Amino acid sequence: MKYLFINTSTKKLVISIVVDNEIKYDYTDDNSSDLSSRIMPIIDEAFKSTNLKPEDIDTIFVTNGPGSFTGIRIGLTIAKVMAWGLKIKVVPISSLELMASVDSSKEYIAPLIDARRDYVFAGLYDKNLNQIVPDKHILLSEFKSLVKDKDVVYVSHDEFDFEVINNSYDILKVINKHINDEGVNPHTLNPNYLKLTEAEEKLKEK
Amino acid sequence: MDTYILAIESSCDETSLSIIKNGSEEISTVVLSQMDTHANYGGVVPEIASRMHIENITIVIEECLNKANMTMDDIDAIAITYGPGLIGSLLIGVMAAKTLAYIYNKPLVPVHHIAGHIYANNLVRPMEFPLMALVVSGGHTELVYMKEHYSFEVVGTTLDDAIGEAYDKVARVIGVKYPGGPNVDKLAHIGKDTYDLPLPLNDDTFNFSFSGIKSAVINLAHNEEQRGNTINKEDLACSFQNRVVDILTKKTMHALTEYGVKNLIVAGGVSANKGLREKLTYLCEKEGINLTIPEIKYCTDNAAMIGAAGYFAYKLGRRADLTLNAKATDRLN
Amino acid sequence: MEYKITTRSVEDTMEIAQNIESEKFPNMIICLDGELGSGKTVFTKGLANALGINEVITSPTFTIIKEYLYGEMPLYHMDVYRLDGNVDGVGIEEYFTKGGIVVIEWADTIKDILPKERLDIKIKVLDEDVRTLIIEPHGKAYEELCEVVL
Repeated sequence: MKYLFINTSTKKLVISIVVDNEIKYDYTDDNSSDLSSRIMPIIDEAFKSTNLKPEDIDTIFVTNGPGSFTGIRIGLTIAKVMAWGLKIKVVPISSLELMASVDSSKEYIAPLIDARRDYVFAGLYDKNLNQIVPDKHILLSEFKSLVKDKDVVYVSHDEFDFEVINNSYDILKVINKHINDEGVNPHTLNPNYLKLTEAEEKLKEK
Repeated sequence: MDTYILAIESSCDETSLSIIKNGSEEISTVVLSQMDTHANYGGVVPEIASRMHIENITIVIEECLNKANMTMDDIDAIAITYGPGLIGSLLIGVMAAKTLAYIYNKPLVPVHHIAGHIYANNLVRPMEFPLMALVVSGGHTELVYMKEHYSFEVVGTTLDDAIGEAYDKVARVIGVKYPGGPNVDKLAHIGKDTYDLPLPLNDDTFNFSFSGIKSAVINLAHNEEQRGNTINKEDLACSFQNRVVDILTKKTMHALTEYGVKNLIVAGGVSANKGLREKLTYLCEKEGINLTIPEIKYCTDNAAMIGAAGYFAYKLGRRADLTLNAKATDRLN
Repeated sequence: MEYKITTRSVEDTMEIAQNIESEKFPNMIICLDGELGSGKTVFTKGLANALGINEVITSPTFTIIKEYLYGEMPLYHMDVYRLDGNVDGVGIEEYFTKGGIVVIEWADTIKDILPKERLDIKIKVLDEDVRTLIIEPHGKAYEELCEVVL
């Protein structure tokens, strides 16, 4: 089976092609600028260097947030259109779960994405990527007290005033976890922002 | 051989797809407007617009192809609005277009949003050159001279606010609901021209300025309020509209004479303005100018116009590669 | 450190902008604040002029961002007033590292996403033509710039 993995939701861009249980192409970088220009040529390179065509892909795995709103939409638009056009199965993955795939000696992994104004996008996962605390948009202090009694390591690409690790993702671990997931209809494959827009929040308050 | 262009437009709050044959014949168009949503906020909220674009994009592509009873195999090239507009909104269309071009191996043709508005006229009847285009929209007010297809010479532009922006601000001051422009236009037709407002940038250039008249309306409203008087909305709308229509038409007619051009086309969202249409129709008839104004559905943002422009850009060999990005540049080319 | 400069005409304000332009560097961020009609756009026009941009600088209110790519260095002109603080998804931050000069009008409304290093300019209207420009550099590069040109 052939898989395309796309992550543009976090600050670590990932484009991978996996055939059976082997990574055939892996592109990762920590440069989130100019993503919209850079991403398609990287995908093109992924196919060229593996001698595959988009229509050869059996499943597209794509992170659908939370994270940078624009980033999420870039990867997801590609996945939506590709899955719709070529009738490929598409499986959305939480970007926090992808972050939780890092190698660690601790029992639990807490991925954090800075959401400004003392808020984070955060969740809690065990080593097998089982979700212990669902992904949420939450005050950092609140989240920390939620997990304080647990043997936990924080994973983040952002800076905090406590220790976080910033390791590489384990794409295979994530794919294997979701290999039997049902695909979603590309029309309904949408971002999981975990946060209303500020305009919507203000309107709700009224 | 016929050429079919699949066009995508997502620069503001409309997700639109269209298939256009030979740059002039509309095969199918789908426009998904978000106007009702943004009305709740009194204007377009960029992040909400982007969210709605991504939710709708594949649905609109599919519907457009189905409506035309065509598949991607029937398409010769993909035309895409790359700018100007709201970056986040443009980006959804640009990424979708690049992905379509990539997976179906089709040429990708970048189209400037304003070129699209101008080419909406080619869907009405073939454009005849040389021509002068009056571009009036929320973000633009320009006089563009074209001696042939895809040759754009901007001979006049606003020096500050665009006409549509002035309408929106005036609408807010006199308490008219979003969308402000069309509503002010409606009021203007009920009211009388009783308020003393200046004619904006009434000189011999082809440039425009609307910040002065906008301030004049704001000041007038404030002063009347302080005096405890209520303003007559209809009359103020009428006075404002008369002034801006006067200057737009005056400079346009002047440019036509100066450049010796007999063809005038009007483009952009504000070309739906009834006051402007009426006055231009009257003046052009009087002066023997060949006037084209697109139907209302082609005046607002739509992909049909991008498909029309895209056809000529395609024939000229204009192509974008996979690095194409959404741009917020005004320069028309 | 804060510099206070009084300008007595549109030309004075443009001259300050031109002087700042002469010490330009990539990813320079200039934040402008001041009431309607105080001269924020005048300042931007002066800067654009010095950059050799021959397009007319018009209001970016409608699309929030306008790009001018054909000068000595790209100019990104923003008016964030209409956002009312809703910066999500507009992509403003992307422009901070694009290698051009970024001018942000009404920058006060998006304070929490502004880079720490930047030049703040507040324009106060004293009377019809007279303005006080309060220029505050944040970060070494901007401090040096101010020392050279102000």
